[in-house]
Amino acid sequence: MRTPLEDQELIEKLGREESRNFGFNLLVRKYQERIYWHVRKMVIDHDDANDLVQDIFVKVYNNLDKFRQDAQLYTWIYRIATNECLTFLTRKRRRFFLPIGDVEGELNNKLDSSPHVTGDDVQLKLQRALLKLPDKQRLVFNMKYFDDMKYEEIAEITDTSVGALKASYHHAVKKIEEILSS
Amino acid sequence: MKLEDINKENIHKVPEGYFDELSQMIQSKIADQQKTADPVYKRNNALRYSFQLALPVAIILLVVGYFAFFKNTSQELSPEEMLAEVDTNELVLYLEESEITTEEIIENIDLENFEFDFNQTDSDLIEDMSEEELDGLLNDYEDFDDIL
Repeated sequence: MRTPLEDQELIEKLGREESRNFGFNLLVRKYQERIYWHVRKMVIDHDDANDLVQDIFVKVYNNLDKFRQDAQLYTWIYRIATNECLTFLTRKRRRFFLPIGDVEGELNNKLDSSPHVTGDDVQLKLQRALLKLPDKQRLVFNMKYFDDMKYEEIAEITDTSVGALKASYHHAVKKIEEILSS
Repeated sequence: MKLEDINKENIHKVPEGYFDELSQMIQSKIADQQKTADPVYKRNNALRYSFQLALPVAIILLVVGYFAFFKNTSQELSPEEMLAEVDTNELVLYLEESEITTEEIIENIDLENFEFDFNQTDSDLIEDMSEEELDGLLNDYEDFDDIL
């Protein structure tokens, strides 16, 4: 797959010691919003998302040498972001010994109480329905429905087959529509 | 309700100017990380930490040392030695006023370590006693044959 020119230029700058920091700055400015929203939709809370996004980009910086150019740059960054989100949510459950339902409850509370959440009743109802999905399924749904990503791109990020992703998304849509209709 | 009937709207908002500051926050975090990885910083931090730790450690050692010394001092004397320091008259008074019987005293004597002088006769024993001790003894026994 041909790497877009912009990313290629970034990779070249990152590869040279003298331009590494400048290149990394450009990388952050290019991808910060996409990564932030990817994370924010999963963790709901802005402060949590802010912490995670910073950790993600620090991890990207620390692992620039390990980036193999067989994958696209943004796919690689997305993969790091996805793993960090899932790890964060898993740790949240383990730390407080909360069953899945309670984490859902906590995220629901953030939807209700956060000053950084707006939207009408239907939108909020949709968000609450999404929180009932398992984390990985919710992740796939977000990337397909909100980010309009292709199944092939999602497959690269999640290291899952296109067929499994289609089945997961179809199942998620059915489940959400049932909840919305109830 | 179908999903396609709902507007795809982002209900989440961010504080104003957040994305303008985010890259700076990330750069600061990376700089901090590099600082803590610096050997000179690590050494200085270790020294600072050592000094901060020295005082509480010194206090703990003093307290432990005090109790160790105090405990050792109080346990220096054996029970026999501690008893030897008690005045004989006080011991006699205690035995007279206590409810301990002669048989109980005899039972608790460590006869294995008790040194008998088998050569000493009863007469020798009496000869070692003072007039007062003898009078006391005579008052205790009605039959002189118990003594001699």
